[in-house]
Amino acid sequence: MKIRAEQLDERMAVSHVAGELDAYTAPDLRDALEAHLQQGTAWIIADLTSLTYLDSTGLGILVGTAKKCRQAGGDLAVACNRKNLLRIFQISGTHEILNVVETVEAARERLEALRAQREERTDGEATS
Amino acid sequence: MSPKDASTVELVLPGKAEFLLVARLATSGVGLRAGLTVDDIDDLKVAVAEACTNVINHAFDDSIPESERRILLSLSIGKNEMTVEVEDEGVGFDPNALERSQRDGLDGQGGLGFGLMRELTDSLRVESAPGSGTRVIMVKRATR
Repeated sequence: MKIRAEQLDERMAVSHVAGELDAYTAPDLRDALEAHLQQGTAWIIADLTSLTYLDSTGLGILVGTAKKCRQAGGDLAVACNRKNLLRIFQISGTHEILNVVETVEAARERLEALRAQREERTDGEATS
Repeated sequence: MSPKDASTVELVLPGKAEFLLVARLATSGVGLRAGLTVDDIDDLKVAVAEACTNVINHAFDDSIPESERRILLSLSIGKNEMTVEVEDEGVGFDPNALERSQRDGLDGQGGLGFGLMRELTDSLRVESAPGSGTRVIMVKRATR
């Protein structure tokens, strides 16, 4: 499995993941996603468009990271367009909570929309 | 592992995560011979890897030396189906506890892997008892 990090802006980053994600390779993904959080980036995209295999160990890493992102005021989105992987997200019921969409661009739009919603909510609370 | 007929492939894998890929590759190869579709094979690969991951994560305690931590994998070609057995000689567990976990849904403690195995195969049976190892038997039918 290969992972490449990309910083999109000061608050949003992507981990581009290629290969197979199982119990052997999952620690590498956990470390890569954790590195974004350590650097203060809480809006994270997991780009799985070049990933060919995923199971419950990988799902566990993604769900755990999504939780940490939310605790830090951000969120996680997954870009995935492979039928066999989408089936795993659907069956496990993680499709919604992981914000799974087909492309990195769509994932970025999803996170930017969530960010705008939260900022609007915060502004509303501040003025009320 | 009991003796099998001439349409069965048997493998003994070290109980280590780096050999999960070998289990998946063997599943793919035998799945093709069994006439499973690519989608069937994708499903079965996940189910087999989940069973093997459970062995690696849960079957062995400190009393079992690393050299004896093995996964016994049996892949049998049937008529329009494939049967996979994943067996270990580890600590075993009470299958009733697994049923309770499954009632909590896929998110139940320890239930996600078994939940995927159940959804991705046509039949799943777990034979285990504390102290006597575990055998998981899965059947996947060809969907063509």
